[in-house]
Amino acid sequence: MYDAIYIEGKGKPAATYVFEHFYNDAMSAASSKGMPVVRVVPETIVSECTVMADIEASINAVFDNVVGALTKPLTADEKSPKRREPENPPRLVFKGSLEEVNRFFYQRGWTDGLPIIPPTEEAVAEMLTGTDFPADHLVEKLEPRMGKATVERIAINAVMAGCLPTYMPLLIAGTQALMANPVCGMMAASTGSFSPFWLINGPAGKDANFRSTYGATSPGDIANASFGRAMGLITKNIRGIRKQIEDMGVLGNPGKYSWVAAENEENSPWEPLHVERGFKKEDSTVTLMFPQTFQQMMPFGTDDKGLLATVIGSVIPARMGSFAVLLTPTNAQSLASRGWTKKAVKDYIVKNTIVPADYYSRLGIKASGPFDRGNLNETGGNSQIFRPGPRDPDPVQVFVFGGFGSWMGLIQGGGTPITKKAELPKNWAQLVKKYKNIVPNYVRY
Amino acid sequence: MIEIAAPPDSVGMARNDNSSFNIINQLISDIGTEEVIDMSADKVNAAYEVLSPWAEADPVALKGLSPRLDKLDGKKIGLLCNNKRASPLILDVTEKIIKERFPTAKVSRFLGRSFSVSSLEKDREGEFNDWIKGVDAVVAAVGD
Repeated sequence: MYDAIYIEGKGKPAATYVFEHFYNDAMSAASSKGMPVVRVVPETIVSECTVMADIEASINAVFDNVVGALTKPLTADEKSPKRREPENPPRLVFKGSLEEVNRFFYQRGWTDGLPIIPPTEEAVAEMLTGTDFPADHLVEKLEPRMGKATVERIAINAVMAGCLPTYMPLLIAGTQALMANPVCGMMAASTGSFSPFWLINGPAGKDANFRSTYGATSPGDIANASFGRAMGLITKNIRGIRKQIEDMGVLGNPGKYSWVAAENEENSPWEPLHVERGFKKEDSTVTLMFPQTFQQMMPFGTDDKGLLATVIGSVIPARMGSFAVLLTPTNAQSLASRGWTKKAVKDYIVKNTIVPADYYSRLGIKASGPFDRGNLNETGGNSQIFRPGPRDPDPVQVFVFGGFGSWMGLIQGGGTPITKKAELPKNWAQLVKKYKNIVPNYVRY
Repeated sequence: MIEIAAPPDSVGMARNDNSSFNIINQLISDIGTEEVIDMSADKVNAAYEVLSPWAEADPVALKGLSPRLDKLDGKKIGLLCNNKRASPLILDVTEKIIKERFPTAKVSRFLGRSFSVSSLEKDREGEFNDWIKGVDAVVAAVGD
């Protein structure tokens, strides 16, 4: 829609075909750019369709509407559109019981379907103790709605998600990461159901009890569970990306509830990810990647040969975008003990992950393009799946987390990963002392 | 906020335990409790006055549409597609229909290399603007 609005702004009439299920998405995009009356032509062509008969039938059926969109005289609203939202929405929106608050928020479309903690003044004030930034400090304006991510609005969504104040510095950094790479950030709305994956590095993650060991990305820890959840609520309530309105993910992705791990720095033989990416070891960072796929493999063997063969032999067909190998400390130590640096592992994967010569012929299809559909514009040999290029000079990442075990994983998809540093408040030590002991206490049976 | 201390009978190692592996951060109690914990203050039935999570957005300057054409006959129609794979196919069909129904109309294509030329292809701004100047109207296909 952005191009149609740009063209209208240049004085030329435009009509844009839109798959009918994407009508709301198109109009939200148009409103965010100040043209809520842009003319679209709904059609019935499913995204990514390649069947010409379906396309011909649909366009023939709606072509009169294209003619109308370009020639029908403008209405008064189209000449001078009115604002769709109130300029000054109320800050306090509701008063009621726990159940009533939850029902109200759910029916407004402000939750992820799970119950929320009511964001009262008191609860939000406590959340704000997690940062030295003032409540009205503007962290970012988030696309596509350009909603203002003030520190207070981040805190409100954090309370709803069940966060503790010690997560605030990382939530603010996460919000900055969403806007650092617009292509990466807009993955949240894609038909590909890309999900944010958050990797926490540095002392703040450890202080705030982000899990880096067994089951790091499984439920059970407030930090891992609520951090990603809060970022999901921020995506919904500040960015304005809501399911089947702007988020048009077709299959969906459970990672959108919360997909968070801290890197297992203590047990990794290599430098932590944030150090590799130019930060100091004592810095605390959030790294954002937007994979759509998570695959786990039992390696062919647990030595370097078996581990690396498993990676290069497991890259899925029709993949696209960024790529990270997930190694347990056991896997990483196995490689390091045999002389592999992290860079050597990455270089090996880039060089040796190739398309088999008979790949397309065995599938019975003609395909001359590169294997990695997300790297169509990059240079390099066609048989090499990962091709460093201007868009992504470092196409293979290595993350080390999880418990001691042999299982390994891959995540892939989305834009280039982004890392942002968290600014800790001056009273960080006191905050950590206050919240550090909030951990599960399981009963032995 | 109530501070919760680690229970004295926990047998797990604390998170910062500097053991050889330093991986066991679970707290496990040998004995559960049969006491009813009463934190008083009836939070469930209390009334909560809550803040809005929905962000404010600065008012965007609202823009109306450009004047429409009186007809397509004799006009030059721009056909714009992005990099989604259905887009050029949609425009192929559109071009065919235009030529059939408006034989005096001309068409001109612009092929985007991304989701949005105007937002993501700043290096082509001049080329894109020149193309817009050269057409009377645009039909866009975005593949979604």
